[in-house]
Amino acid sequence: MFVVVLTIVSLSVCGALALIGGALAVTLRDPIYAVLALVKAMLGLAGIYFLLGAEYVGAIQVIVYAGAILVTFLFVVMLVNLSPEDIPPFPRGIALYGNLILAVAWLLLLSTALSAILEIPAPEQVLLHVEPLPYLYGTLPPLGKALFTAYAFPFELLSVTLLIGIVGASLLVQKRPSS
Amino acid sequence: MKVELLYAVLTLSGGLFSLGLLGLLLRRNLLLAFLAIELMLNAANLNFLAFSRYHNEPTGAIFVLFGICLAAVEAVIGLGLVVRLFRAHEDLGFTKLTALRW
Amino acid sequence: MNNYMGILSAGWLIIGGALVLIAGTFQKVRRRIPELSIAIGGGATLLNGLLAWFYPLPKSGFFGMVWGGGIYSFLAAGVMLAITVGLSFLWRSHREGGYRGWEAFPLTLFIGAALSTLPASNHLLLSVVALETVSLGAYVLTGLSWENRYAPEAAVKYFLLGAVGFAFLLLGISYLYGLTGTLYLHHLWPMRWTAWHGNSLFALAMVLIAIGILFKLSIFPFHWWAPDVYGGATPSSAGLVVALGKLNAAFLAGVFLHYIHIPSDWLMGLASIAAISSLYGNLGALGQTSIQRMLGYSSIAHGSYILLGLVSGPEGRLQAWGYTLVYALTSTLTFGLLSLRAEPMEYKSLRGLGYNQPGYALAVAICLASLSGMPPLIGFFAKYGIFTAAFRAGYWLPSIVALIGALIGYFYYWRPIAWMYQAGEEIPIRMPALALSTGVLVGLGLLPMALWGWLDYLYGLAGLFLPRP
Repeated sequence: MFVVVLTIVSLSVCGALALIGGALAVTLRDPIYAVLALVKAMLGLAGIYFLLGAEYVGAIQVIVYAGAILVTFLFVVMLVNLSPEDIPPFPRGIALYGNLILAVAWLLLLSTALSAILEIPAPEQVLLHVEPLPYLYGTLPPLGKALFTAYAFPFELLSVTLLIGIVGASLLVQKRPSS
Repeated sequence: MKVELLYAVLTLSGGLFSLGLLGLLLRRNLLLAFLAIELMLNAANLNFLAFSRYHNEPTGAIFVLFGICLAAVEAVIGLGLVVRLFRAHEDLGFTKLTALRW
Repeated sequence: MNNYMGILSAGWLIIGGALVLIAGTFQKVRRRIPELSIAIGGGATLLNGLLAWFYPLPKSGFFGMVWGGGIYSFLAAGVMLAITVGLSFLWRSHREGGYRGWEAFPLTLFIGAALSTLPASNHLLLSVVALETVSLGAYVLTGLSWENRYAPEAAVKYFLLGAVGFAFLLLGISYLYGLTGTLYLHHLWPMRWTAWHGNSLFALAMVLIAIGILFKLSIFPFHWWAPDVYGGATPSSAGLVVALGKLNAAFLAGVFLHYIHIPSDWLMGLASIAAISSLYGNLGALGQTSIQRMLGYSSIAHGSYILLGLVSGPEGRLQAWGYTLVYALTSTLTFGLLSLRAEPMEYKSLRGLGYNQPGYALAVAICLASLSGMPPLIGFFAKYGIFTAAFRAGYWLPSIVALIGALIGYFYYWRPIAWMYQAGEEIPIRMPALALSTGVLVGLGLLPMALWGWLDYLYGLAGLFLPRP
């Protein structure tokens, strides 16, 4: 009982952290604070990943997302000298309220559709093969085994994606030719 | 995993996605719009992990690993484009991108 | 057990691209990079063509992750042909630009590796990785030019909207995974989908995936970026960018529509969207004065024909894939040919071209005529196949509306041709040029029938015509 309450409380805290971080990231005027708020959201998400039993994915989330991607964002914000004065204010009037109503309507639609999850047909009703795992999904052994057997080819293709990122970035950030 | 817990996590990810969408619609700046897109991608990742836990099957967790990697490459290309645009225009507002009628 | 045929093409291109990347670091070899890349791309075309010829029955390989041989190698050969043509046009602008940005060649080869994997994928994770790899490469190719001041803006716009589309697609696939618990396509195929047809979560997943794909295919509610992006893209690679976007979307959409059983009234809705999109794209292209922007608008229309084919059952999907390959090749050729000229791509700058450079003008005219769907050309057969399949599937009203759009297309595709043969001074029409044009028109028209028959045969062998269990 205690463990269940603890899980629910920590999930709520992490979820609140993620939501508040996300809300701040899309509202703060100062781009540096916005990026830092997104780091906070990422950390909250990593906490949820841990609580869902995927320790490895949570660690990667902290290292790659919060540690690498968003730090690159910070570098670029500083490189292009983006200050709060450069950020145009939120639109007023119809543009603001229209978009807000749109977002709330979208959220309502989403959560209505999601409530179907509560009466989702059991997998054996619709699946032909159900192969339950003898271990917990998110630990390193099943992930590593899957990554280097069944998912070996996508994994290799992902290295091509990274190469495209490197080559593409080096193409894009070249200096303007002097001629 | 209890279905109610799954529902709670999915609703949270729906909220994050909506926040990202709202930010995309409201932020008139390239970098900050890109930040909102990162939030949307993370909402999808959270979904994958929640469903992976629900099915107790590693596909979703692996998808999240791949998704994080793809988001990293996307960030590299996007930030490269930001730098390119900065070199070409010295200005990153959406409103100033008038040449192509945004 | 493990069959490596499916990764042969991708492996060839990855190793070749890496070699080019290493070669480029040496100053002396750098001048030869375009030739080397074109040879590797042409080699991949040949390799895939041979695989399709000698192994008509596709085999699953690499832990059941990817298909090889048969139809999949055929599609990869078509993709690589379009990419090789695109590379050869990059070559020219590259030489004139003083060999800056040679990295675009290995980049394009890597894109080819991912794109030839996309139709052969047997797992949605692999499809998503391949799709995103191609898209990321396309964003870079859009923004390369320093001369065209719109290019970086077009690339940024493409990137932002592409990333939004990708986020929608990913969210949709996550709900699909939640429903099914698997992402292997051969697991999705035999499921009892009708059990989910009333489920709102299934509807949500499908709508989100559709939004993601329609963004990539530039179909009506999500089309507005296409004229700006394709019209502002770097001229020498714009054809490649258009081709990559369409191939990407068509392959992924074909996979979804084949493996997932979608209610027929939803398919009707998609066909109606395609019809609206055809009207919009063709009417929008009518008022343009820049050829590149006109081609940007017309890409919306071509996307709509592809979608119309995709929703028209197995036969229609076959026709849609064939159409996409033809469109990719023709649009790469058209954009490439037009980018060879230094002048901006305005209709006016074409005046008298038919007399000054008859061979070049003839080539452009043939490409434009094929895009419009002139009867003896390959573009006509592709369109004919799509519309027959759509009529056979029972989409009468959408097909007729889309057909009206296609007829409007004749007007604006013929306008640049008319400009080319409009002389400032009186120059008599040269008979040899006319004879040659007629000859090529008929020759191109005869060839595709054999290719179409082959595609049909391979498609059937892969079991893609099989009815749902």
